[in-house]
Amino acid sequence: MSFIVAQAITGLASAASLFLIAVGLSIVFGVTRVVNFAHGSLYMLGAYIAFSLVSVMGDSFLGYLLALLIAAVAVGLIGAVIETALLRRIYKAPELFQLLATFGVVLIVQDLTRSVWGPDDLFAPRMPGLDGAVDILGHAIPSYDLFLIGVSVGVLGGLWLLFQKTRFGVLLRAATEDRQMVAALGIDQRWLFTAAFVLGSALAGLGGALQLPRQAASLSMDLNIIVDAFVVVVVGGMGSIVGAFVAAVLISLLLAFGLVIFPQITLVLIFLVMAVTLVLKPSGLFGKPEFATAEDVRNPDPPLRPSDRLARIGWLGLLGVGLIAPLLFSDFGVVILTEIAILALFAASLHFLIWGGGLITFGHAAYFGLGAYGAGLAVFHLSAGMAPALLLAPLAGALGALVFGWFCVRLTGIYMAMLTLAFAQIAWSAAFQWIDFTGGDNGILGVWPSAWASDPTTFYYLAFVVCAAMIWALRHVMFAPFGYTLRATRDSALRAASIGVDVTRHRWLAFTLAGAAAGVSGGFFAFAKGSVFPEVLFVSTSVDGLVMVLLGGLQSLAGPILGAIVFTEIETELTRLTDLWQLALGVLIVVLVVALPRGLAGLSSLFTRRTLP
Amino acid sequence: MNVLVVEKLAKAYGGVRAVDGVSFTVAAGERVALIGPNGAGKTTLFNSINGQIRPDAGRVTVSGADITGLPPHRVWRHGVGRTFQITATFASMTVLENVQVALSTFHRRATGFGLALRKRYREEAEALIAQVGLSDATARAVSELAYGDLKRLEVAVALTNKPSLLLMDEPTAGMAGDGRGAMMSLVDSLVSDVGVSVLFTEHDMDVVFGHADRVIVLDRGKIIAEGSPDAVRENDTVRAVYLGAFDDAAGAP
Repeated sequence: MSFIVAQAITGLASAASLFLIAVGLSIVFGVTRVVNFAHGSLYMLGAYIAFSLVSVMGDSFLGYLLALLIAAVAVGLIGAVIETALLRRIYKAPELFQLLATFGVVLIVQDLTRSVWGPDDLFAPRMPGLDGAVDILGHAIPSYDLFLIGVSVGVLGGLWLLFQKTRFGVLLRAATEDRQMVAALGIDQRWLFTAAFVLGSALAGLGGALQLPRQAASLSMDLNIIVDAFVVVVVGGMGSIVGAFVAAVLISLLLAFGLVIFPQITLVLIFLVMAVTLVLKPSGLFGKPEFATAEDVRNPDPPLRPSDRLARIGWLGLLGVGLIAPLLFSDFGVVILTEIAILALFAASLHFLIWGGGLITFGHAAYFGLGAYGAGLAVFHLSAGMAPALLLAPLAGALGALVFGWFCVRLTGIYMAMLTLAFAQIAWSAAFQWIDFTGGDNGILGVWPSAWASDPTTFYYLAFVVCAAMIWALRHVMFAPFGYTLRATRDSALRAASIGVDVTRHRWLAFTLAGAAAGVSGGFFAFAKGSVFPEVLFVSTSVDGLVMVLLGGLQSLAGPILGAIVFTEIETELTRLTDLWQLALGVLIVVLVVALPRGLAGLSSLFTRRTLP
Repeated sequence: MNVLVVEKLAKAYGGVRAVDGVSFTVAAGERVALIGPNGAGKTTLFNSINGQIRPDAGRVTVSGADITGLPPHRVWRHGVGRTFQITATFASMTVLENVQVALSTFHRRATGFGLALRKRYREEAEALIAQVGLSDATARAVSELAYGDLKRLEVAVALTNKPSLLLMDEPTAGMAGDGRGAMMSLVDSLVSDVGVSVLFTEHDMDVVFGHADRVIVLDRGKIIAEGSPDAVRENDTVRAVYLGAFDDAAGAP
């Protein structure tokens, strides 16, 4: 019994920071309808800034407390800069663009934090006066944990007062419930949005600062916490403060007890809670259902046209270049070419879902990675040759997409994006934690092509031919009834259902098909690299794919290929030139979303007609 | 022979009984208008028939088959076509493609990977487009069409499953006077040529009394009157609840 109490208190103490960051995320979403991926970065900045302040003024309890509060305010101000410089420009952009742009901020903040504070974890001293322990039922509970629980309840009360008793709070609630009404009442929305963002940022900063005495400030804080925060916000209901609190407590307790009972599958457990909640009550425990529905009718695409002569020459030219190129390059160049061919297929499978079906996925790495692991594990455990391993790759990708997709296609818009991300993170954490099977962080080594294909040029041709054929097949499907029906579900799910289309089932099939295609490219990727690491499943892989798709232009079938070429080129050149590759990528993403929403293909329109949204 | 039989259909939202035990039939080749003041439950009734809403109680039968509570895509298989008050079409396709997609589902080829859609069901699609008078716009993108033409396209799409029943939610909403007449003559010609039955809601009383064989009046989820246009026009309850309210609002005697 006493053990349960002790474990519960530890769980509640962890819930405090999670609540602070999730409630900020939720407030920002409620008012601006933007899911801020960079919210975890603000949390991380809170911890780092607090570290610097504590080392100057943290000798006394009050000095330490003041340091934490100043850190929160500082992060609020950083939030103001981000809101006015970036978010303000993308409030009307599609959800995918918003998520991606804020992920760009994640990358920028990562590299900037690394340059300022260095790559090592930073340990702060414990808080003077709260560095001891309290005896509760025979267990020594850190007094700081009790302080944290008190703070989180205090913040919940403070937010309740703010929202119920102040004019600002009433406006925030009104904006969350009915934005048009607030606009109609003559409230300056720009000011309100900035204020909400600053409030949310300061809460995230406070959450990060408060973690400092419990854990070191590290560069992995941002993505670790943001995924948990997504889960909390989705389970609790987007835009709901009480929901964020209840879900934070629920998830933290689940984590605290899960760690004791079945440590291996704790992470999986959490995402399952999210998946089940979303499927049973898509708007979350305390959310309002209207957030969950969004039929996108903005700027319809022009009808699909079969390739005219010019386009056919373009495709043939691309094919010719692909066939001749390896003869002109060194071995290193051929390795890059191989990577381009593989990533082009990955990007094309993603493009198929996003553009072909309006299915916003932020976790396409899952199927790419499952393909890679399918091939790698076949080699490692079954001593399979290259050919059977490569055949297993699409099956692994398709199977993963079949299972995860069953849940994901029941949702739309931002909820779908978050659930796909959550599933990809499940796959990632499974690969990471299941060390006996996957090798964990050490990965799987020795995934080399068979002798006949071991020459880089031969392997390139193999990868090129298979990937080009798959890309051609995906393109063909877009023009076939399957693709048109998928497009139909995207254009109007209502109309599609009333002409006999089982919308959910059709989306599910498309999801599985794209999963299989991504699996093929993942399988080749494993053999190209000779190894498989958990990173192939990580969110950054999904984002790389999205950047390629956007870079090439969402509305063009050749887009993903051009995007893969340009992206791989930029990455290869920049990583050679600078350590700040993430910063550069982040800036690239932000610029793409803000200035070039139609990708490089839309570049020409900047000089001719302005037809951008 | 009755194409549609609705028996004691009910749907409540919280405490509000949007549809409260409604029973009626639509015979083959009949045009039935469903009218009633705003909030009478017309759209809820419509959506419960085509499956967008699952009714709480009651039974819906189409050509003898029980379709109660089936999802829209399965209701469609039983020969029910639907048009919406605010048109729903596939905005990123041409007129022809809109009809071709629907035909591919009808022929159970929606998951086909083979031959390109534009090479399939072309003549069949063109015939339907001609039937609604849109032949000139066959190759045009839907996003360029005028609203009246969109409504016609919806009719062509709704005809792809050779329906025995068309559900039309306000077929002339958002159209000007001439357009309304043309739209309703199209509906009349479909009934006489194809033999389809039509159940429609409508606010325009000229359309209702000029083109319905029978009128059903709904108020607060219940049928308060039913009969020929003339009988309904003379019905005192209807005058009080419906036309009365209208007269008051218009300030006319």
